[in-house]
Amino acid sequence: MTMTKMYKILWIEDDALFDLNSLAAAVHTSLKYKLVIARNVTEAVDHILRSEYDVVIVDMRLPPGTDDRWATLFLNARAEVEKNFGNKLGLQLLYTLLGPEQDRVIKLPVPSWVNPNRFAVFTVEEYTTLERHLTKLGVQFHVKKKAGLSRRTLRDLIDQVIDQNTSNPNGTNGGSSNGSSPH
Amino acid sequence: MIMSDAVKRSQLFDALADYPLPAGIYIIRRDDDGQEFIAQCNLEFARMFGYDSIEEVVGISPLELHRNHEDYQTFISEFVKHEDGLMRHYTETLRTRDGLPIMVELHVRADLDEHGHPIGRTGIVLDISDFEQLLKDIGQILHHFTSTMTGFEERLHALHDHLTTLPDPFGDLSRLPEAVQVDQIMDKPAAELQSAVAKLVDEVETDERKRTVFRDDDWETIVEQNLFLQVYKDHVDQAESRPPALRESARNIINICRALPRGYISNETLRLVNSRAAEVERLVCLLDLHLTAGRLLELDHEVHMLREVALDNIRHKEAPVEISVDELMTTAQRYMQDFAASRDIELKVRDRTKKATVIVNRRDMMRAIQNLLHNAIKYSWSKRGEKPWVEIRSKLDGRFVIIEIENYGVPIPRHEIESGLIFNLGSRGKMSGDRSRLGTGIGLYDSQRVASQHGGVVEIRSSPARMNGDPDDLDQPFVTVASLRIPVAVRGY
Repeated sequence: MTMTKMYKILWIEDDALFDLNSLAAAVHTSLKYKLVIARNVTEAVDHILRSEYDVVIVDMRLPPGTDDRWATLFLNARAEVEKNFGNKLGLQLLYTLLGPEQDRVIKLPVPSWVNPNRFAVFTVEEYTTLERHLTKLGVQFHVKKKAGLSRRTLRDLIDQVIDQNTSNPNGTNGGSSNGSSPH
Repeated sequence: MIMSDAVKRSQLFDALADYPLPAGIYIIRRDDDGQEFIAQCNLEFARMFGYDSIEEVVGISPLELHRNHEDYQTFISEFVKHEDGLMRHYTETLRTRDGLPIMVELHVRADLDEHGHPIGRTGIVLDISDFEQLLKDIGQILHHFTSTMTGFEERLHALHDHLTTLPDPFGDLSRLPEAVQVDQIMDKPAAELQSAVAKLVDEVETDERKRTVFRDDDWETIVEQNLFLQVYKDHVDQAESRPPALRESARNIINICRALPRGYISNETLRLVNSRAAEVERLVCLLDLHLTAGRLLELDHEVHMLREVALDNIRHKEAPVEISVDELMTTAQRYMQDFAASRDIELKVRDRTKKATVIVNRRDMMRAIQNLLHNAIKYSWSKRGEKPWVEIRSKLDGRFVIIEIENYGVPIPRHEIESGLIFNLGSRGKMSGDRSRLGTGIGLYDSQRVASQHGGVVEIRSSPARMNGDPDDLDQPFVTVASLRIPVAVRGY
């Protein structure tokens, strides 16, 4: 068997090891991918600062992990409701990584490989509730988590992000539509 | 009360009486015979009880608004207990003019004359019928939810019995196996599946014609799964993710083999691959049953607590009873035994209160201790080479009894304790999601509330288990002690 490039995938999802483990399994069994799971925002940031990923899949409702800065944001989430962040720490993470300087809720030395074309959102939130933010951040892929999803859902989402970036490596397609994205 | 104040208050009341407030306000006085009557009220108060005008209410006895004389007496006896003459948040079912029940919340203060003698009282009434109905509805739904979960548990056990005509290496269904242990158990079946798939690959590679019977990319998938089964431990980082990945691999292999036309691949090879893949699938399904049963047990407690807290305001409170500390601890231990067993945790009880007793609302206090015990079990880690344990111990400290629950495992950061954050309703500590643990943030809030209602307090200490461990290093195990301090009733010695 000829081995092609192994893509590095980061899935930021607190339920990845239990409730959603069958979705991860379909990715793990393909040697085309190396799937890394971060179960909270602290772990996610550690991974992103340490290593480059071809695709990053982000949940919106995430626990903070051990970093006090994220823990404080999480505990003060109620005060953030008016900004429409609520307890969506995943959205705060996206703003921190991809947002304009003034919207970066926590200052991080964001690596140069980080760009919105490598990011996708996989969450229980409807696209319409996130549209304003995802458009602003340039994140084009969104899949809604719901009961009865195919075991290949995550793998398909990853494939779509990779396909788009392979066909358009500069990421200048300006938000093309696809099967994952509702728009 | 100084008369000028009373006059000022009366003027204020007159002003408020015509003001459309979303609350009833009233003044009660006594007549020459010492009988109470409603001296003043606003229109909202009158309407709340089904009267059309203030005039219809003024002069009637407050007894007419209570459901019966006993309720009225209970209200009066509760009110006089407040030495400062101020009673807040008293909830009671009163009745309207037509005899319909109306749930209200009362805030009342005593009025005194210039000599300090009581002359009546002034109060505010809030209609909370809708809120109470909502709480009852929530209670009903939660009750239904609990029953449904019990049904799920029974079905899981039935399914488990069905699937265990062959042995279950993970043990009794009530046990929640640890990921490391599961990883070891899966070594052999995974290796056996890999060797069977390798045999299939060898057979096909020795005869190129056999490759043509595989559909589309199926042959590439078989080769890939052969490789995956060799490297899965390196390829999949977290031990928890490996069993489902093995099952996925087994399913892929079974599906491909089923689609093969007969007569090309030897029956012996196909039988071997299928049986080994089916065994991997069976084992991971069994594991799923264990994990699901463990989750249900956790969720069952959380929902039970939520129901207790939600209904606390409207449930008829039992009278406080005198109960020995030993009984409180052993009963709580008994209730939590199944949950502890599911985590393979030993519960140790040590009572040093020498038969001391406390006067408590039994149901509430039992729940408060169970909450603390549940947390201790849930957040315990295994020590290498040692069965994990949680200790419940008690001691006397002056006129207080202290029940301490100690565990070894998930840290609670200092600032969460010092700021009191961990006692906030709905607050989950930043480490509470450790290893995908469930939680609602109700337990500690509820325990603290119950302790406070009994003149006590809950305190938490959490420090590194290792001597000289850095208290800010949250990756190491901590020893956490939850202390419930309540006044002692009688010393039985």
